[in-house]
Amino acid sequence: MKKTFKIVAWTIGSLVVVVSLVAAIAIWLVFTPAKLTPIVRQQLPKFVTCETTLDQVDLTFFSTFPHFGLHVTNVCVKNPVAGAPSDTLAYIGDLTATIDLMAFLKHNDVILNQFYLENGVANVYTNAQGKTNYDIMVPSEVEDTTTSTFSFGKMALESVSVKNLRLVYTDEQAHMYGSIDTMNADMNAAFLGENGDAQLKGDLAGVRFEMKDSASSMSTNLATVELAFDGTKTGSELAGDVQLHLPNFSFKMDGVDYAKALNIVIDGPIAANMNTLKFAPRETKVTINEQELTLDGWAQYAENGDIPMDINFTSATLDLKTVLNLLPKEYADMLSDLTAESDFDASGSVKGIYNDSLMPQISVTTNFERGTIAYKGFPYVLKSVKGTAVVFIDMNPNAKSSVKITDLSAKTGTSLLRAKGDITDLMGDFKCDFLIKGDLNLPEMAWFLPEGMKVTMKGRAKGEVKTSFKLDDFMAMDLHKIKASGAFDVRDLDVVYEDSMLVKAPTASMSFNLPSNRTNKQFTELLSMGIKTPNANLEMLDFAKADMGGADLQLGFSDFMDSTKMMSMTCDFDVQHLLALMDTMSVDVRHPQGTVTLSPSRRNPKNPRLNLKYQSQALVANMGSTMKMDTKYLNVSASTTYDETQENTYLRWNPRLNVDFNNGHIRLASVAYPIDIPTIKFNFTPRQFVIDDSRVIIDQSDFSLKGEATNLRKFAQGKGLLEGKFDFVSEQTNLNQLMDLMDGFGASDSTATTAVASTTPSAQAPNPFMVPKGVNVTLNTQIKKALYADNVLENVGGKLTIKDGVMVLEQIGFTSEAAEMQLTALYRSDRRDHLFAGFDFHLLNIDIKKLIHMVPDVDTIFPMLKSFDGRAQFHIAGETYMKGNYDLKISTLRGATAIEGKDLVLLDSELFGRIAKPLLFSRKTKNKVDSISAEATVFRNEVDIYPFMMSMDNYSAIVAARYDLSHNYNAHVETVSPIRLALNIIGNATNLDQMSFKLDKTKYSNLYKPEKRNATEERTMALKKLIADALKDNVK
Amino acid sequence: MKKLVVIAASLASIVLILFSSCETPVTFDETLLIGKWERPSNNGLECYRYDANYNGVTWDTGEDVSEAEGQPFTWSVESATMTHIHIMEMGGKIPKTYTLLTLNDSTLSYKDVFGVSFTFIKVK
Repeated sequence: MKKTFKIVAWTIGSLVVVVSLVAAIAIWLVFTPAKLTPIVRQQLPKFVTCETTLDQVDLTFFSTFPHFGLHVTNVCVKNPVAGAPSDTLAYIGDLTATIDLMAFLKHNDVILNQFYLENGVANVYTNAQGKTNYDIMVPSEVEDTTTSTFSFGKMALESVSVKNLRLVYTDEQAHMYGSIDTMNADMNAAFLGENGDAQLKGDLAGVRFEMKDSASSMSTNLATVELAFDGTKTGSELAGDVQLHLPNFSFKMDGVDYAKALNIVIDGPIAANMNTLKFAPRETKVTINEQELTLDGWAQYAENGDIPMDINFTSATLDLKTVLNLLPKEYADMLSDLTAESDFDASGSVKGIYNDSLMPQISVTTNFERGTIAYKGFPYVLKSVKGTAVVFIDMNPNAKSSVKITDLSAKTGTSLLRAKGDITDLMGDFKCDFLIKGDLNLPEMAWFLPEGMKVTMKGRAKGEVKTSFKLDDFMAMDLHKIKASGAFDVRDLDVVYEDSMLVKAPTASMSFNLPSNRTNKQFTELLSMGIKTPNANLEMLDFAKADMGGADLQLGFSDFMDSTKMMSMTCDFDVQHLLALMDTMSVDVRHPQGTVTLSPSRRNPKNPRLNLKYQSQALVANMGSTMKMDTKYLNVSASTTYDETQENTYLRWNPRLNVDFNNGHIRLASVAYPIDIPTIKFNFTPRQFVIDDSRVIIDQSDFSLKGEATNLRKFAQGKGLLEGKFDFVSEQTNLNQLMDLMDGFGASDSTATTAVASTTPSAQAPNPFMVPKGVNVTLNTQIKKALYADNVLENVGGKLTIKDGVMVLEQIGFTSEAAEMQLTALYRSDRRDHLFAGFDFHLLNIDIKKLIHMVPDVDTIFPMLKSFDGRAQFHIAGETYMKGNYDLKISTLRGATAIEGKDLVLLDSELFGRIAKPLLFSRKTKNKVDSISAEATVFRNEVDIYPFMMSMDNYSAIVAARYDLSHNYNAHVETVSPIRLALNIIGNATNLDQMSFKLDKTKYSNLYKPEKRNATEERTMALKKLIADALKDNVK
Repeated sequence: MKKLVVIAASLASIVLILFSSCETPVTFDETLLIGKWERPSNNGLECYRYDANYNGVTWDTGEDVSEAEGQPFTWSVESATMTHIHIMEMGGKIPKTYTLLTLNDSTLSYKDVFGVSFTFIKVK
């Protein structure tokens, strides 16, 4: 710009010299144009080196009366330079200048009464090599080193008028181009020494300036410029009023339109000091597109190049939309989705020094009112936007700019937002600290939920959020570096998710903290949330419902933005009352509380691990009419680690369960008896199951079960047996009821023995108890009192073993009022329709009547026993295979029994009568039998009673029989003494009248005379011994 | 005359005793027993398998029992007496004694002391 001024100054100076020379010649030498003009033409080459032409030079007096004037027309200065748009440097169409000659002669005052220039052209050009077309002055041969003694008294420009002046400036070396198509100006001025005053009014049209090189470009266009100035100069001080109107101002740099057709008005007093180059607007108004700013202060161009300044500004009410329209398109495009309208004002200051390294500080206080903000895609318009903000900009090194929002409020149709806070380090980290308060209508907040999340919300939330973050962190959603916390009170919450899940809460309070303010030993929490509600309803349509009363949920989440890691979450719950319904099932819980945690497994972070700690007071659960359960106290710790690589469900979930269950009651529709559980404490891990304590009451049974099962994991993998040892201790156990409970329990049919197809399919699918395979479990029983059928067994003790598909009741000893007993039983479920049951039963010193009562089947095998009274030893072993419905497979039925008795009484009966008569027995009511020793076997449907002898008084008789399970008899009774008779009894015992009682040949004369036995008799006795010995071998 | 009657009766008795005591005992070739024998049962076949080591198993397919699920017994043959001792898993033993009537490579028949007869066909 300095260069431009220099060029213009040179041009004007040259013209002034030419004009002054012409005027001097005219005044001093020639007074007529005809004489003056040639003289001027002749003298011109002495001053300018280029071609100069003029039409006429004359002195005026009458036309400029009372002053003499000089009038020049059609002056043309030509200095062709290659590349210049024209060979003409300057052209003056008509120039008239008058001077107050008397004032000059008398007072040495230079009063230019009139300076009139019309139709002028200046064409200043510098080519790329630096050659100019304005270097036209003849250089001085001797440098003038004298000090000018020429001084004026008063200098005044009374009237200066310029019309239709056109200027063109081209500097191809500096890549600068400027032009003014038309310039008109009128000025009046008066100077006296260093003081003066001036009034200027001018207008320009078609003003253009352009600077362009390979790196950047800049252009300015002004369609018109209107300037008015009225001021004074006192010494170096200038002061005056300026009115500058730029109705169509455009400025473009590097392709960006920073200003486009702006209407700029500068109006107001301005002061300046020419020595100190201090510029001072005084309440000067600057209006851009009718947006008005008032400037007051000063700026100075210091000698060292600094520009210190202190300028205050205030605005009238501004229109935000208009101001935003002032933004360059490139910046406006960034806000293309934003539509904002608002009234606002701004006031502030610009203070500090501007130079190559410093920038002044800018402070702006702005107030918004009646604002409206809409954002494309956001379905609601923010209205009534109102607020106050203080912006402080300091672009100096290490300085930080900031924005302080003291209050900002806005509302949508039904939601209200208020915010305040600070943005610091505007040019750097852009750190934001906000406190946002809201009274929100939740349907309007659905827009903020993730896209694709089908959620409809109703209700209102009122609360506040406090947040602190850096903009880059926020844009990158780096939640580790964002701090936020908030709390909301929610009313009439009604949420529907995916048209299938409903949540309703009349009131609730919610809070969150980022980062979490909770301490979590399992993982580092990133976000924590809290939800409290006095009452909430949850519903999964067509599936389940839940009512929660007094719920307090505290949730913690790990870094859920990290896609490389599995998210962890935990929820502490404390609910006063929970009622859940699902189909016909329901759960009613009082005060459930605990923690559920989902996190990656420590061993394999790719696998999820679920932990649950649960505790509740009263719990009532119903499964329709199938089951009802209630408990006074339940404490559960559970965990599971999911391993998707495992095919086995157990290994896939790896469950852990620790249960403390008190005062429980279970009612099962399938079980006629109530099940009461005073306590159960057990610990289940993937490797073992430990029952620390348990007490169960099932109607007439109570028992305690303790012990442990181990090797669970290997069992699940099919690599080992499930080992277990448990102690079953009971005061009283009703075995019949427990056996009812066991119906249908057990493993599925797992045998491979399927070669034989069933030829007797059951009408109903049988559901027998299947003994688990791969299991080795021992149950040590101690039952003080066991009820079986109508019998009372005491001190029942022994082992119940389940081993690899076989259940063994091993040498259970017990006593009853009938006998001391020992029982070994075995049950094996080879396949569902082929079940094995066997027993080995020893009753010592048993009351025969009680024996028959206790084991009714004995009467089937030994029907004659019911004719005896007294005590005996009884040994029996039996076994059979059964169908799935427990019907016997008769072909597999095997049994052996031995009975020994002394001092028995043979009761009189109809059968005895039928026998006694032909054998000539005495029919006493009670016949004392000295001893009896009998053996019997069961094979398939056949019962064989091996010959045995009984003695009574002086009678001895041998009895042998064969009968079937339908009581079809073929018996032989033979008296040995005092007479030898034999009786054959044939027929069905259920009808004695139909039976045949015929005398027969004696067969066993020597059976009990060892020295006289024949081979058959020896064999018979040996077999009897074989049967008895085999049975007794098992007695412990 | 009375003496002659007594002497004749005595001689006759002696002759009868002598004849009876000199009756040749019936014997069977027990090796013919080795193998599987069957006879019809209610809904299938009652089967016995005699092994050479004097063990055996019995099963009844009419009650959905296979040979592999058969119940064990030991057997012996002495003259015409065949003895089965069925071994119970629970420890008891059940002897069954029969008198052999026929034993050849296709037929086995015997009866028990109560006169019940059993006839089996050998499974080839």
